[in-house]
Amino acid sequence: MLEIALNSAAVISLYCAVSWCLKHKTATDIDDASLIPFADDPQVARRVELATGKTVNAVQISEPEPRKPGWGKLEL
Amino acid sequence: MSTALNGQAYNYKVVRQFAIMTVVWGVVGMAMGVWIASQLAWPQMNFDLPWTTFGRLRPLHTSLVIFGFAGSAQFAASYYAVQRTCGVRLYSDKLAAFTFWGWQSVIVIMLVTLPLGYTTTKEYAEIEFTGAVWLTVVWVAYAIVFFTTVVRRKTKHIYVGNWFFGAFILVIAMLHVVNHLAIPVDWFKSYPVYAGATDAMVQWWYGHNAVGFFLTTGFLGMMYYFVPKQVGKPIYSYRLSIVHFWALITLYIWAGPHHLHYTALPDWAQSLGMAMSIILLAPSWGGMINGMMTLSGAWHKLRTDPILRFLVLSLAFYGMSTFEGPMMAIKTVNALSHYTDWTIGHVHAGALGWVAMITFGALYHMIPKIFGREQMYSTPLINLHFWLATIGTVLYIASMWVNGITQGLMWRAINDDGTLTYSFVESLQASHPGFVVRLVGGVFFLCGMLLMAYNVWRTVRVGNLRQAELTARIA
Repeated sequence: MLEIALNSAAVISLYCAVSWCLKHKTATDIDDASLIPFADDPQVARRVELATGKTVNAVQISEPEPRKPGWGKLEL
Repeated sequence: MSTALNGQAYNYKVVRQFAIMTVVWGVVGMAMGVWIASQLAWPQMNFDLPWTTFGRLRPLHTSLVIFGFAGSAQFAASYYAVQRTCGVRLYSDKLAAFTFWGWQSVIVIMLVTLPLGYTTTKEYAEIEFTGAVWLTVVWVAYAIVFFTTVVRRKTKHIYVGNWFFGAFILVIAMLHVVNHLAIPVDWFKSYPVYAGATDAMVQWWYGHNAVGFFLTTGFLGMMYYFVPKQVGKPIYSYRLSIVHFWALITLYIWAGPHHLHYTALPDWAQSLGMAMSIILLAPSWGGMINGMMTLSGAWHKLRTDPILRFLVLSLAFYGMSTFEGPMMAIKTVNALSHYTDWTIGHVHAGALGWVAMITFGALYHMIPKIFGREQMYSTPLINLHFWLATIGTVLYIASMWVNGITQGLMWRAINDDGTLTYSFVESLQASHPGFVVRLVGGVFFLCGMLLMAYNVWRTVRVGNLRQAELTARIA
């Protein structure tokens, strides 16, 4: 009896965890989440937009700041 | 399709360091593997020296490839992906640098102490007490860097790849600390607080989850970032990736007892481990299918992109070994396979086919970007590496299957009067051709690794760090 209760509790916990992660997530939210890896790569983002028809909230590139000195910033 | 920028760059320096050391430890660890494979074929290769015997070098091989090669790869990939998917620079340059130098020092400790014979004797956890404590300190620093970066993210959602990396970091911390609980009697000698069957169960709870979390979960995080990036398409089903995550981490932790079938472990615990191992097939294949299906409509890219080939083949081997694992966990199958070379073949289907191949794909994707190059020095060399690695893996696992089944059948064969049909030495003699083929497979794989090292060196030598910085802007 205890084993059945424990097994049921495990399955219910798994179901609740997954449901909790997906609650209030619309199809757009899921799409946006799946496109995160392309968000910082405008060129790839454009190709992904063309291939999937979905909009990637990508970024532009600017000049970097000069690096600050320090032992943790040695170049390899 | 643009947003404002804050002008800050990602921390690619620590990613570069870990990426290079992944290649270095890969070469050293795999060379060690080839050496000990030759010892099994020709015992003279032990050289009659205590430091170079199989018993001391085998744990060194596993430690170098697991912690040196696979560990460095996961540091590199997780630091690279977490910054890019969270839209922030890695938390604390100094702490990140500490994790690099700290982790390398852990590997050096293994490199020195294991040949000298300092060992806990626990598989994949051989590093003795002082080294284990130092490893814990480094790992806590890693957790702080990773999770603080996630907390400071600019994105609303935490990308699923980071969930896998996060689970890998947390669970490995728990496993390492619990399995290494010991009473030290010296700087490099300690005795575990557990005894008997309990000690064995704790060890294999750790040992199996070293595979499940160190060699699977972190690499799935890698898969969820690098496969979509290389294909140029989002993951096939994001919902499935979330179900995959929860199901995998819920189930994996229970499967350890299948390493202790037919031992002093209580029978119910063995059966529980078997049942959980079989159920584990579902999330494993869910993840594999999710990765594979990402290529829907883009399969033609495999013809021209050897990096993608590495990533896809790694998923194929992942699927194969996660089918084989649950089958071997069935007690009746295990009665044949346990203690034979079949287990070694299974481990290497995962280690070479899944872990190493996805690492190669991720590194070939990442290295040009972090060193400011358009692409790797030579694409034909990547292609050659792919075929050497594939042939090497197939030779390795096929020879171990044949050896394993041969050994299992010979050991259980009995005559009419109940005596054993074959002596152990006869099974060893029957295994010798398989040992040689395994060595040849290992040499193929190592040659591929050396080609990669050369390709990386030629790419890095002309690296343009300024260009890498330029492309590392953060939104």
